[in-house]
Amino acid sequence: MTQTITIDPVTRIEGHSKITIHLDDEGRVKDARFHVTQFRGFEKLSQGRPFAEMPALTARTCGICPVSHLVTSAKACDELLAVRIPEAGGDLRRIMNLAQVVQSHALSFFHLSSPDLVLGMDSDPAQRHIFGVLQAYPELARDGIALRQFGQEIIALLGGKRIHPGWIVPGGVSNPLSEEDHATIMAKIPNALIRIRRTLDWYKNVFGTFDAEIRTFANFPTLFMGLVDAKGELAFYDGKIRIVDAVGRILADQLEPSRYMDYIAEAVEPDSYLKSPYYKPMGYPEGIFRVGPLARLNIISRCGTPLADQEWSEFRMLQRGAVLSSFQYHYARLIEILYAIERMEQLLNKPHILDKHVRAYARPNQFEGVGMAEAPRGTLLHHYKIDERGLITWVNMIIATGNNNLAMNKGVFQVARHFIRGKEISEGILNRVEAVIRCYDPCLSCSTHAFGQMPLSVQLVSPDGELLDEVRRG
Amino acid sequence: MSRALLIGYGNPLRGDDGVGWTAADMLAARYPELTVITRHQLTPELAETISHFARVVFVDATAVGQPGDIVAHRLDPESVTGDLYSHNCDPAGLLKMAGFLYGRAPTGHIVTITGESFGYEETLSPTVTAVLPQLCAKIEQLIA
Repeated sequence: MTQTITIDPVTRIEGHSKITIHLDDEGRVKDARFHVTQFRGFEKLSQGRPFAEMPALTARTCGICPVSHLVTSAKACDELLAVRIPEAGGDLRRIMNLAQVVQSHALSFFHLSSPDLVLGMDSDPAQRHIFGVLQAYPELARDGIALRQFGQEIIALLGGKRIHPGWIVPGGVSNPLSEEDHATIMAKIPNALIRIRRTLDWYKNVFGTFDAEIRTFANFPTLFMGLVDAKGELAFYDGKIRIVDAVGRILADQLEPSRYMDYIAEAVEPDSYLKSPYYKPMGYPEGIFRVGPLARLNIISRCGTPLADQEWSEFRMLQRGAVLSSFQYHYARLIEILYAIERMEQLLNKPHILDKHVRAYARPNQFEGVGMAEAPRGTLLHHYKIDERGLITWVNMIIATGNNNLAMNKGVFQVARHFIRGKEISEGILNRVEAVIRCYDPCLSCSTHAFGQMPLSVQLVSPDGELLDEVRRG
Repeated sequence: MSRALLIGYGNPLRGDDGVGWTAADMLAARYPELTVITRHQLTPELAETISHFARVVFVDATAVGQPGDIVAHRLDPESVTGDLYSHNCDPAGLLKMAGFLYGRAPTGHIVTITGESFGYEETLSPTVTAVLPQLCAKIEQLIA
């Protein structure tokens, strides 16, 4: 008789989900599935709205990474206008997008995942929370708070508020950067660099103690996808698509974002609201790919900033070819924070950054526009069609978390198969099944364009469908 | 009052859940020297901010009680034993974090007002609107 374990809800992630683990007659894990149980439907409710509303409207998809949606949506709208935005406007958008990367990665690493890293996967769950972290490593907790503040304060300075700023608009940004705000941001950079370098040193000292997790947390060959610039460096705001295989070989490069339908397709599974994008030339599910911090550091030729490049060189020594373990999303996240801080400083030092001309104005000149950018969790796409009045007639959004859906499912299966023995799940095993998902820092509210909080459940089900064990949290 | 911080939080797009914002805005206009913050949710970053103040007052809506009820009580950081969610912290938990991480925890109070309507609207219900003066008076006592 086969059995199924259900973890419902999954905790310390953004959104609602559950996990089911199916056992065979001998009690071995036969299959495991990650189900996203929330639905929102932004693509549908956007229809009929004026296109200029789309950045503000789609930013409401998420309270964690609204800037990513603002940026990507504005880029799609730029295409509808067919304008070339002023250089300062583009660089100010880049700065806000990087500030978003810092604050979102800090949230993921320090607030969501550090309890596992600091206290251990098998530590008492009653202590495995942020108070446990601040008691064990108060400096790490202070660094996390400071780095998240750093990112959020830049967003607030540029956009007027921390969440859902309306400053990024079709054609550019609504206001230039003031000299006072420029000085404020520049003054904060040295301290932020100290804190992220200290955190990187801490992480490099401890990750070796997670050998079993590194070996089993979604450690398998896949493709990796993301945007790179013309030199193959990190590109969060613009760039073109590069796809790399598990041995680090470039399969495709400089693919046009606007032609994404040539190389990305989306499969739909009956047990989840989250679609499963895949690399079209390899078919489904063989075209499984990963996006986000790990993928970005696997596809690039270098980061493009001095300190991040040093760290990236060390990171790439972890494995010949691509780094395959999703556990190292954590490591990659920290390097990207370092890169983002350095890159912001570079952009703020550009001579035109205080220019007053930051927005181009036009009426719609095209009926279709595609925007693509790198959100903290990976490649984000908005694709709009409008009518002659400028009203939205069709929308497609491929969300970063959705791009990782196949890999998250496969990762849950790998962890479950390695750690689960028998009909019951110990708390430590439950935490590992959740932790593999946390590596991806999924934002399920975004990826299903859904509404609500993010608890998790795990169910253990027999071959004949009997529910044997169930754990719910959140 | 310059050492006092007022934090109004809730969702101003959900009717009476935005009463913390309304009260905070009213008192900010009345007392320019008062530091006022409005938030949808309480997050760990606020621990660093509140550590710089001698007193902090949180203002929130609640669904518990009769609409219009105003309740104030002092926060006890030592009562906090459980988890803090990453972007939905507890006021007492923030005081505890401030004390532990920064060595300075202000005295803290929370003032709640029972809402009547939490629908998709940007206005307060007549019941809550009617008791806003009492709510502000209670907050003024605590930050004075």
